[in-house]
Amino acid sequence: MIKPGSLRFSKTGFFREIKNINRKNGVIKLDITLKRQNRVLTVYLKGELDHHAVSKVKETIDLQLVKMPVSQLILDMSAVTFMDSSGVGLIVGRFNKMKSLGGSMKIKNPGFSILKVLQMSGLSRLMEIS
Amino acid sequence: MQPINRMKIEFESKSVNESFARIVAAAFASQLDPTLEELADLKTAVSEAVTNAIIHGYEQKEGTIFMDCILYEDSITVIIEDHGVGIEDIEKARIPAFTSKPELERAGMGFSIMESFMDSLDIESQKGAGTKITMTKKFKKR
Ligand SMILES: Nc1ncnc2c1ncn2[C@@H]1O[C@H](COP(=O)(O)OP(=O)(O)OP(=O)(O)O)[C@@H](O)[C@H]1O
Ligand SMILES: [Mg+2]
Repeated sequence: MIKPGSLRFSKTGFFREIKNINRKNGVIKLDITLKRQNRVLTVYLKGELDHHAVSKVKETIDLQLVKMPVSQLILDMSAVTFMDSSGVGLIVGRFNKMKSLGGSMKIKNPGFSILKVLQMSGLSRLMEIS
Repeated sequence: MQPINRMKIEFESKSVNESFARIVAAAFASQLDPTLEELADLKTAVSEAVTNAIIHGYEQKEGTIFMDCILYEDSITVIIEDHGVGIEDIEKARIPAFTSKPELERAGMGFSIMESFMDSLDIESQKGAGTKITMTKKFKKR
């Protein structure tokens, strides 16, 4: 099991994940930054969202959801350079979780190739993508 | 058609090798000067097949994955093979949103993505023996 790295505070209200360098399992080429504003949690992802990286994202987000109430989860994908169906599974899982908590989820700023995977998987019909 | 170049690698069934495999395939394909979109499609399809070998074929345990890339004048054929558990019902496995591992938050979209991002997809599998995925991507004349 890959443990998410610890979170570091910054004055701007952002939390940045300290790079998870695990030579044994291989470095994860994905950075996570979180921002909380009232009950809105924004997750900024940077790098490659594949099966190797998803458990780290899943654990980081799910931990936030139990820590404090969240009514909206925003996934900012502007800096995601690669995503395959592992990312789709992660998004659907978080979408269902938010729904069961009575909240909502949306995706922001996916690049061209990411949007192609999201659309082909039918996610654009499930949630707002802008 | 005559192949103009060919390469073969084998690597361990480890999730860190998903990015390794797709980068290697894309680097080899770039000899044909494809567009960025064509390369992105190829990378995604390779990542799907390798991830399937790791998660389903070898059930996240040890194993060896084989990747064979053959270049033609205007296309690449990629063959990804595992000697894992195999697929019992290939027709069922190809259905969009079908997954045998919903508990792992799989979307069941891997084969659909390979099919739509590549120009051909062929699945050969035998229960208990393994799975061989053969897919071809054509590159537009530039
Ligand atoms: N290499 C393999 N070995 C054994 N079974 C496989 C293999 N590849 C695919 N399968 C079977 O085919 C099914 C469909 O595969 P597909 O990639 O479409 O979906 P998935 O892997 O379950 O989900 P996703 O790709 O969206 O994460 C899998 O759930 C699995 O049962
Ligand atoms: Mg798959």
